[in-house]
Amino acid sequence: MSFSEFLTYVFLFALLYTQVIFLIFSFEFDPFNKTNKKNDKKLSKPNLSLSVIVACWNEQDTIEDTLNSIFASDFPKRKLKVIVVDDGSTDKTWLKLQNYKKRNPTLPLLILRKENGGKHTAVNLALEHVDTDLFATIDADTKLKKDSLKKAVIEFEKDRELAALGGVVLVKDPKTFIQKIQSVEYQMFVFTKYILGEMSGALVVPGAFSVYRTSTMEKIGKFKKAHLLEDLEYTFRMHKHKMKVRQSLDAISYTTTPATVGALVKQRVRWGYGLLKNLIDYKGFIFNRKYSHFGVFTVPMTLLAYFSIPISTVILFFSLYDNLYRLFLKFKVLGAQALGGLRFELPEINISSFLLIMLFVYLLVILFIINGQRIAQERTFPSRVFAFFVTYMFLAPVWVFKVLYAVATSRDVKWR
Amino acid sequence: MEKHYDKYIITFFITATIFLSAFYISEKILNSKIQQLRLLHEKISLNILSTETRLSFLKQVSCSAAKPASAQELGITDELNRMAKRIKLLESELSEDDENLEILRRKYVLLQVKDYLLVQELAKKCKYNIATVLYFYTNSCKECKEQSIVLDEIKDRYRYVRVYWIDETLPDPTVRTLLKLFKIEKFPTLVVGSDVYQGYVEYEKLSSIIERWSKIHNALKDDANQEIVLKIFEQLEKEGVKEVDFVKYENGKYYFKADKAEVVFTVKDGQPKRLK
Repeated sequence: MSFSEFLTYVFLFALLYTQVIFLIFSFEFDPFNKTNKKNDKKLSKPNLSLSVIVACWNEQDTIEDTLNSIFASDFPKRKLKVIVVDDGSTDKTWLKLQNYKKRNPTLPLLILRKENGGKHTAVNLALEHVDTDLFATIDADTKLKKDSLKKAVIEFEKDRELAALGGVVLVKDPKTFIQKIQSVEYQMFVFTKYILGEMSGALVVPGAFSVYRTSTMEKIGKFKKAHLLEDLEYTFRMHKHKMKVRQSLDAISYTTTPATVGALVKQRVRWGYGLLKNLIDYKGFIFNRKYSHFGVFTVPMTLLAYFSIPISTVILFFSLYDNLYRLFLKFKVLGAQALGGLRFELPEINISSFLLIMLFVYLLVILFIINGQRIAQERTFPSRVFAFFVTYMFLAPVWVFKVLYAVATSRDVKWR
Repeated sequence: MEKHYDKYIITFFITATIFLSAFYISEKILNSKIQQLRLLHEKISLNILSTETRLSFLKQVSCSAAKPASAQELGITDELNRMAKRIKLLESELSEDDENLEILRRKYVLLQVKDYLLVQELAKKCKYNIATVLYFYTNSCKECKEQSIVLDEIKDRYRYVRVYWIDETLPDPTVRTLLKLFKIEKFPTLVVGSDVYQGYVEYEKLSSIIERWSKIHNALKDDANQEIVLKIFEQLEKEGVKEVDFVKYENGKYYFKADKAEVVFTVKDGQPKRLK
């Protein structure tokens, strides 16, 4: 066995190992048992108060829908406060906010405006006005379900030590092809994030929809710029203080996702850059038993998972190298004629152990996607799942390469 | 949260089990492929034996009876092709020194040579001509890969042509003999019929060679004289005719079409002479 073959098998083993970990822990923290729990009876009236913070920039089209969905929730309004911060929008956002307030003077809504400074500055400004037990962050283009807030707050009442809870984030109204395949990805995360949360503490409570205990903020401070991934850095900080951070199963939200390939790649470059940069800042986590499973498993696994798609794509191409080389030669030798005779010959694939293992990994991933869909109560589309696999196989190497380049040259990445 | 660390160990064992099962399964599949290939080889050998037996009848029976009813019967080529494909696949799975691979390669070459000899005999005895291309190659030669692609295209285009792939590196005395017989020095080398072409032959050129060969040899069906036909072809080509086609041989006269115009030749003193 050559050295490169050995490396491939080591990589495959690690990949398979991480997937099996999820499987094993899912028996311990069975998500389907929890969702059927009758906890509603006991705590139908939440005692904790909540401020919902919405930071926005040029969201004139979506801000009203977002506010409507928040105020439509069944969380008691006397315990609710909504703070919207306009981070120096250049469109009609501020105008729409003022009109909304005028039209609904009785709603507990506070609107603030400031000079543009980035999302974290907007949230921090809102935090100065928070006097409730809990606060939540929501993206300006995110919609909540009726019971999302209540379901989230209940967890804080059940668990006195809970410092933060990540909401379930799904794709809102997927229309384009790219959005549809992202919906599959988000569904998978519902499951895997929950398991991670129960195991070790969540990797990141998403800024799109998360709830925090205000005392947490008092202890560890406000949000930082953190390479444009302020929600990730905040979660890391909470872990540094050994706080309890979990992921919800039933506090559901829907957010808009990039609609085109270009926008998606840009977003993933931003995420990847933020992830790597923050990991470098918090390099003490990796394999550190002091942070128990978070350090030992979650952080290394995230690194592996992030690079796994492009690596497996590269390996796949190397194993198909001969076929591809032959195709290239065909064009060289026969020229345009080759196109005429390009019968689609299904190349007989060698059933190598490599392929079998990859197959098993894919099967597990599909299982996780299905679990996620069941939790989120969304429908299953096998064709979408397939499209998801194939598309990401080609796209992921693109954004990973861009991220590595950006990290290496340490150039900051733009938000929009 | 010190608990659950035992789960890491359990997971390790489960992952290792899956890994080992994958290795085991792929090993089994590989073995079954080798078995299938052996079976295929047996089938081909049997077909050749049957054709050989039929040929020995030729000494007593007329050629028309011995002539194969369809191209399929004489077509062990399909099975040979399948064998070639399977061997190519196995090449990537087995290591180069695997004995199985060498045995299969040698079997394949020998079967081809047998087929080639059969074809020659049939041609001689029954004037049943089949275009053959002997392709001598070696693994290290640069142009051989491109020549292979050209040959695949030729085979697809001219279904009646039989291409025999002779790997020069095989340690087999038959291969040595062939190399000496045709005085092969360079690779790739093609032998079309009995004409030797050293070096890479591109697709267009090979196409025209084969078409020309077929035209000439189709002529021989009518008991025409091969040398005369060849000379007429060469003469017309020298005159600059682009398309030379043989029509028929009747009453000692050779009827040809030169660029769609009719030409007639007779023989005088062993040389073709044009009639107007």
